[in-house]
Amino acid sequence: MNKISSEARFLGRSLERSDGRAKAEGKAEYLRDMLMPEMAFAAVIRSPYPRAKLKKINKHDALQISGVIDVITPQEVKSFSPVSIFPNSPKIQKILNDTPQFVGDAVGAVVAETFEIARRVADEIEIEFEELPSCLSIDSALNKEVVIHESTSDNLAGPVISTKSGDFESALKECTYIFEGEYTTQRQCAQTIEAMACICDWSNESELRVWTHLDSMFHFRDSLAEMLEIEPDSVIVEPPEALGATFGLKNSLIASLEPLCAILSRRIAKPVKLQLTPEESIFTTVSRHPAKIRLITGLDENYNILARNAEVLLDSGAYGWGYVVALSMLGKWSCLYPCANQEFAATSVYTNHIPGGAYRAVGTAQIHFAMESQIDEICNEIDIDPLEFRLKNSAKVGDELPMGTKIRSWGLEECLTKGAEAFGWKSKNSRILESVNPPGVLRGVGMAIGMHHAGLTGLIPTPEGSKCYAEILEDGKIEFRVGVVEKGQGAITTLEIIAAEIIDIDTGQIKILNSGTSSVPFDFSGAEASRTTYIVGRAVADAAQQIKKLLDGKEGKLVDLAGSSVVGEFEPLDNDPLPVIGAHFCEVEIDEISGMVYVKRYVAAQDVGRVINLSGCMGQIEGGIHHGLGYALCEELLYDSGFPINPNFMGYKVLMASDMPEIEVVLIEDSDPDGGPFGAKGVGTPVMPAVAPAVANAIADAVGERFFELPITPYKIMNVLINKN
Amino acid sequence: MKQSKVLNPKTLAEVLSLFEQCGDGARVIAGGQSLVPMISLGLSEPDFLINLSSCDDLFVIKKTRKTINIGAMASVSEILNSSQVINLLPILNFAAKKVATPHVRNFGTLVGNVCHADPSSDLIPALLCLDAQIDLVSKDGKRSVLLSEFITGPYSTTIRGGEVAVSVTCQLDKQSKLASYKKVARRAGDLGIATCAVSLDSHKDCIESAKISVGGYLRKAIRVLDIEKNIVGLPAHEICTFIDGVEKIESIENSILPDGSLTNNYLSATFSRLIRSTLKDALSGK
Amino acid sequence: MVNGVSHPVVCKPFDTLLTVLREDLGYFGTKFGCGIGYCGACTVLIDGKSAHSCCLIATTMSDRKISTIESCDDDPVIQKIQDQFLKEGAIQCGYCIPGIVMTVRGLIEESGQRVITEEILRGHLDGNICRCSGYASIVRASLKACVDE
Repeated sequence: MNKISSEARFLGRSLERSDGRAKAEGKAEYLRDMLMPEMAFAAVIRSPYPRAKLKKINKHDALQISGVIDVITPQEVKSFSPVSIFPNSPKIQKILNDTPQFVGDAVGAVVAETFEIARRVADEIEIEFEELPSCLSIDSALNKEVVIHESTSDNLAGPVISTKSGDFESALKECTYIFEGEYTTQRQCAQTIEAMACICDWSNESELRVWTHLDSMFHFRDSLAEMLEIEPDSVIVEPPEALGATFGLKNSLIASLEPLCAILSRRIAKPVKLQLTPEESIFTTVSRHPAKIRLITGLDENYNILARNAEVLLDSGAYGWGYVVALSMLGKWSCLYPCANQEFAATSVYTNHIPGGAYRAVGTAQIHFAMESQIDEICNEIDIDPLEFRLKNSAKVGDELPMGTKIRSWGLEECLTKGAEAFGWKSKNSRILESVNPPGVLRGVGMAIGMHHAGLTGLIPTPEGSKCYAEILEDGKIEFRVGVVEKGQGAITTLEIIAAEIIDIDTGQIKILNSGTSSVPFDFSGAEASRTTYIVGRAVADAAQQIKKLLDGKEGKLVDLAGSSVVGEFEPLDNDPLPVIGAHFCEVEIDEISGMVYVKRYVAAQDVGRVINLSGCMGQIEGGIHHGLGYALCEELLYDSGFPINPNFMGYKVLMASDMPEIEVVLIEDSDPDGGPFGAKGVGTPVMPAVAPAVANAIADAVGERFFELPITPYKIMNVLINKN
Repeated sequence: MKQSKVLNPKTLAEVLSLFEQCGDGARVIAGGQSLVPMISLGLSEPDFLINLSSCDDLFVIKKTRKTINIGAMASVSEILNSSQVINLLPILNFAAKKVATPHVRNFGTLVGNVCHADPSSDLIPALLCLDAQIDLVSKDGKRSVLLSEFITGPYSTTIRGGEVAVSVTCQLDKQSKLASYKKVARRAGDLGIATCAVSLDSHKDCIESAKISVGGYLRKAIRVLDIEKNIVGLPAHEICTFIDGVEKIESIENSILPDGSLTNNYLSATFSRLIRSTLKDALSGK
Repeated sequence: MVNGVSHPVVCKPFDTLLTVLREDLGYFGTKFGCGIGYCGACTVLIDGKSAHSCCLIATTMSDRKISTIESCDDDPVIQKIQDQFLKEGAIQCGYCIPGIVMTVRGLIEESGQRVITEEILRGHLDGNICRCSGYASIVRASLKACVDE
């Protein structure tokens, strides 16, 4: 089914996206812009303590304030069951919490006629807490000084993972070279520009309608229905006309957002909008899990990897689920550098911080920083070109993925060679930096490879797969209904191209409809985990093939077939999600005055399988590098004794246009016949993992010392430079 | 809810009389680029805002024989475009280029920036090199204060109740031939961690006069007098060696404000390197 | 005066221009991002100059000429910028785009005959955050639009 016609009509070109003009003209309606008749506004009352017991909320006085409609406290939502952060994690996130577990945890809400009144009353309401001892580091969580959740006696956020193959201990004794290092990564935030929000209309008891930021409408629908104890069919989740991007932040419900908003709407029988402030959107949602990773790698005298060991500690925050993050790490760590003797152990704990959650390349971003930094260190020590080392020692076609699938398509070699060529990477000892260093500037180059997955096969309890209903309309256009969300990534355009290419008609004839759970087929995971092109794309491709067949017998007249409909389906046969690989190269300059790092040049060679929409593909890669560079250099949500220090756009630094390097994208098309349509893979998340280590390796090259902790800020660099002088 | 109001006087006299009527709850607003976000975040809660933007005479950048006088409503962009500033006060022009982002420069004013007294201000170090004065008017009359005396600490000045800052006056004869401004910030458009303005005269390769000021993570922007006086008379090529030899710059050490990971050590090293490099740039005419 | 039309507005005294544009006048194309002058989603032009409308008090703007993204219907320069953004695929989630388009419009206005280099352009965009694109396609598209002018 994935045979590519010799002359592709749309594939690999740039198609203008259909929602682009409305967005460019400011006419597209985002959640922030949405208003409804009779709508009331809600704001959340939040805990100012990392851990506390709510003693009293003066609901009575608040209700007397003009414009206030309702005030809700934990008492009123006691009967609702908690919700989970990931599909397979324990349900511990309560709608409102009388024992708040982090600064910003929801303890109540105010509904008012305007947002300003709701926000002000929520901030100023008379409230009493008893501060409880809190647990603010992985170590203190492990020591069980304070047990955070009643449901766990040991602060563990999921089972301890401990897996091994071969015999690491004995193998290590045989090694000529042994490398050991401990790496630390930080709390990174999606920091979306549109603050998270949600509108619920449950004024009619038999139907709850929800508009929210989301990656998947059915996942949200089912979680909401379960939590609120109603039938899934009575919940209709609709994406707004335009959605500010989420980058995984809204992989799952946030208990104090959608469920809370729904209950408020039911209580007052009116639509309610719960709009988070930009600050709330940062420090009360979820962030990337911080990690401590200890790696040991042993090599024989011929530089073959004989033994590997990884010990991971993860901070899950108040309600996160480091367990699934660790599984994602294990998946990549165990296959990227195949070795007979490996041991992996991971422990994840709860602390009284913002919950850990999903964010572009869950787990993979953390483990790659450690793993690829260490590989670079090895290459330096044994004096081998890091490019050569990776060509020799990394995974190949036919190697096994964690759940047993054999790698079918793996463009790593091409990524490495073509990327190196584009970058001008010769070898470690004949630097590309032929020009003379300007005084006061340290220069360095670095590279790393990065592996992530597309799709969620085997990673969540719900079987992976998607469906698509296609129908030929009166006017001869074809409508494809899919359960995927357009959150800016270009899902709609990509699916349009896939259908148009297969049927061989103009993209204008294709309509992709994703208007809400009541009108599209079930698809649990929607646009999570870079699965749109791969999984949903295959369902659309299947439907398009069937329509093509209908047409073949009818001399190609679509109007004559008006009313015909087909159902496209796809379920991957693999046990693992689709592996995706890339190789990144970068050049940095470090200012000796300040330790500031300027990334001057960046080459990303990314195996995308097959380019569907060129500009969409480029946009995902260039955007992923922005998140990766921020992770490497400056993005960090900082806490001091449990209090967020920088939860706003001024304090939380993301890179600006002048801070970004010149980026060259090298697209590698090692198409996977059993992957996405036309052999395509996934692109949004797989870009992320290689970035931070590539930058870290370039910095190590420039400074002559390695940095084991992200982000690599100017202060950390200066401390090394000062001591060197 | 308390009563609040924006007042739009047309003349300075009206500004002063409104100020008197409104009392302590009044704040003057010029460009508003610092004040409005502070109001939005609830960090400032004035009752009255006295808006200067209808007072035409406050927009002017005026040159006299010995001074350039920058009115309270002159924006950073206007300073950047002023040929008088470009030609006669290059150091101010260099610093103005580094102020935040174009959006902020278009509305933020120099006088407002001085009154806000952010230690990380880009403009204040340049103005300190120019021995600039701020001109304050109240119903009791007019006074001019040197910036070095006007600014007393982070966000604090000696402005009195009922006083309005109407302009900043820079002495033309304080401008030297060589000038440079440099800034260390974590990302484009951000406030400086360390900033440095240098203004120098040299004769026959010898430093004749030197002014160095710094801002950033300090209690306030200051002149680095202890370095200034020691480099006068030195041959230009010995300046860097001299700075490298200074173990501690006392004036800076005394006013550093460490903050989290920005430790004392980091800041003193950064300031010392920044001064050295700014001096070098100034000497080479960069 | 917004987009050439005078609007008498009764608003709260300290309301920002952004609040009034959106909530009183319905110009929803001007987006609320950070609210404190860092992200640029709310960029409008005041007398041709780019400004964060969240950092201006509406009542101090009564005699100024304000242009929002909605003025694109009558402004061929804005249309040219939008066309290039579409062609280059510079629009993803799109939330920052109206602000960025207005910033580029302001730069073209301000530059007059001067050549806009990539460095100047990037410096000008430093008041706007885009979290989707890494700015690459935005810079490509804007440069094309600037060269055309």
